[in-house]
Amino acid sequence: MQLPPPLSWIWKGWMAFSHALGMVMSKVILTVLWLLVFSIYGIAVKIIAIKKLWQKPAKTYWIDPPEDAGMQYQF
Amino acid sequence: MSKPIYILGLSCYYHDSAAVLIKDGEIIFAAQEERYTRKKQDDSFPTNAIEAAFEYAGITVDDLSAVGFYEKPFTKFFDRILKESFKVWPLGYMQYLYAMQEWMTKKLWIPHNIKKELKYKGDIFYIPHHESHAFSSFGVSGFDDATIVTVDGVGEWATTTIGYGKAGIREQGSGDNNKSPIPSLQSLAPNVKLLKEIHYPHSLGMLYSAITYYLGFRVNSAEYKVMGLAPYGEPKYVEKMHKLIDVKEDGSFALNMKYFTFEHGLRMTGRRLEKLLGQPRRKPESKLEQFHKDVAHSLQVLTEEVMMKIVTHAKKIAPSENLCLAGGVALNCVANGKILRSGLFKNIFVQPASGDAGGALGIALAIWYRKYQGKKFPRMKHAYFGDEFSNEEIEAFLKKEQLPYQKLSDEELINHASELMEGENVIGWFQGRMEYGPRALGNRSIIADARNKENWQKVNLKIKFRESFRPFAPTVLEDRVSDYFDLDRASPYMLLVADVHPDKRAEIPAVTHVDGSARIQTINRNQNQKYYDLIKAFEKRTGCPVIINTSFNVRGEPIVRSPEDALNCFLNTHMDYLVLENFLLEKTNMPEERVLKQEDYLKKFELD
Repeated sequence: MQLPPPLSWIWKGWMAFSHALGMVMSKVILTVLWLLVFSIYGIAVKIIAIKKLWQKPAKTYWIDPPEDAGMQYQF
Repeated sequence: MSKPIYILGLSCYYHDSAAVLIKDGEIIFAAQEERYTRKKQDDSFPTNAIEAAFEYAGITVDDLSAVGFYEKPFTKFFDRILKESFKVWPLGYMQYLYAMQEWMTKKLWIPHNIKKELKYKGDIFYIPHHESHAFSSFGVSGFDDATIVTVDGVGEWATTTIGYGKAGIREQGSGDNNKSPIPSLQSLAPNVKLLKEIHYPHSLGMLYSAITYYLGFRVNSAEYKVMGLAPYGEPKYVEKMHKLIDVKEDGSFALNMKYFTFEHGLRMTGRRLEKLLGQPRRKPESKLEQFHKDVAHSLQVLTEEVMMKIVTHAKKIAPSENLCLAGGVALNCVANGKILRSGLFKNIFVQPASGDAGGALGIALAIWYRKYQGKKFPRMKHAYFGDEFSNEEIEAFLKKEQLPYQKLSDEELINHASELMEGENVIGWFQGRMEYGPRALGNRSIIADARNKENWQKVNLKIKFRESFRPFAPTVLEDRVSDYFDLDRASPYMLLVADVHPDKRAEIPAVTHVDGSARIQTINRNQNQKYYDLIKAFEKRTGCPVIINTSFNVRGEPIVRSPEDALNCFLNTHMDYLVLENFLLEKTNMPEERVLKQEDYLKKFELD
């Protein structure tokens, strides 16, 4: 449906503003997530990885493929 | 009569989007989206390619039995991308922002996007990225069994895999020799099983791309330039490059990640690599020094060494006399040629669309074989699966453009074009169905006389506007290949490099690279009648069965798809003639105001 002016101008302006707002807000939210959630997991992963320092060097880097859930699944 | 089974395979959202339509064990249509959007290696949803496929087949979305996507998006995001973000934290913030926005808005919504774009209501299937590559090669190789090796940048986790492919029991009868060394492969239809893999970030594809980046070329696009640059250099940096990668005797490898930044940054390499190799990264478009050529050569030597070890190990754990290759690194035709000459395998099949575009074919085949227990596809004998345009459509287009042209019969066209090719003329050759995959194989090609060395620079600098070092590939009549090249078999997809016989190098200088090698395309009449007849007529006239064949585009432009694309390219370059099916256009007859607006034309395409 095509809105008549000036409603179409208002709609276009609102869409442009909401897009810009979305761009800013998504970055703000993602940054908060990065600082609060990813930091906890990031530190935990680093602590767990400490034990790898004592691992012997691998004889081969080939590994077995993981089990596949099936063609109908995205994982 | 039962309803035919149509399966649509899709690859998109990374690079090289493509759509492939198969019907009851036959490829009906295959094309990359870039050809329609005119954006090289476009990663968007392949709406245009799908529409073209439906139109070609005369079907609608309601006729589809299944749709497949070439990888497992949830595994990739939740298992790799998120874990990698945790691993590299607090680095990788910019990469995280970019990845999250990409994934949240489109990549996590694959079934939703497919259903919305296509208005499709049926089943959607997924297989791991490297299984798609494996199927894309073995599934159309025609082999009863094969060792499979896939190597690329990265899929979900895997970057390199070894697998085994086996034709189904139906194809092989039921004798004892039908037993597979891989028990789970005893199925009615052909199937593949991946046996071993190497995980990200350890990736031969990423290593090649990282050095491509270091040499100032575009990643995921210009790797083949590095391969073409290598013969100009010496392998002076192989020893230093061995510090970048730990390679075991069984071909498995791990990258030394202190030299790479792609795990956490938007760049591929950093200062440590510059310190190791002794020079800063080359600025794009700056002069290529001998140093860069030596680095390219060293990388090529290293790649060949690793590939040889991988296929040797693959033969041990998945024994067969046939080898199937796929994945972006399988486009490294110099390495392929080396594997062939090693004699490890009697037969080699390389999927011509080895990059991610080939994944669309792979998933379609996987659905056909696994879900429908379908019959084995015959050997893929050509790659002409895209759009085509009739003489009537082309004539209507030329009339609309008000350009002078000659209409010729098939015989007149072959005779006249072969005559024009002698010497210095460069011809845009547009015929039949567009090729699937990155190579132009005689239907969307620029062709010229391989005996004239001047043609090398003319095509490079005045027609394709690309770097002067870039070599050209020859097309040779299949029955004459061993007269000119050190090759005893067909190479229909330009995926094997072999030496030009020393006594022939002076005869075809325009396609002989500095090291005496050539990236060969063989052609027989069953694959492409018109193209074969043209070269045969050229041979009759000159005694030489070899011509230059390069893709019909300028630098940074996707290969032309339509007569309009071909005409634009013809008018805005120094090409001498254009052949659109049976119509011949001569540059000197073109209205002055229509020709040579090169600068405006070239600006449309981002340099690779």
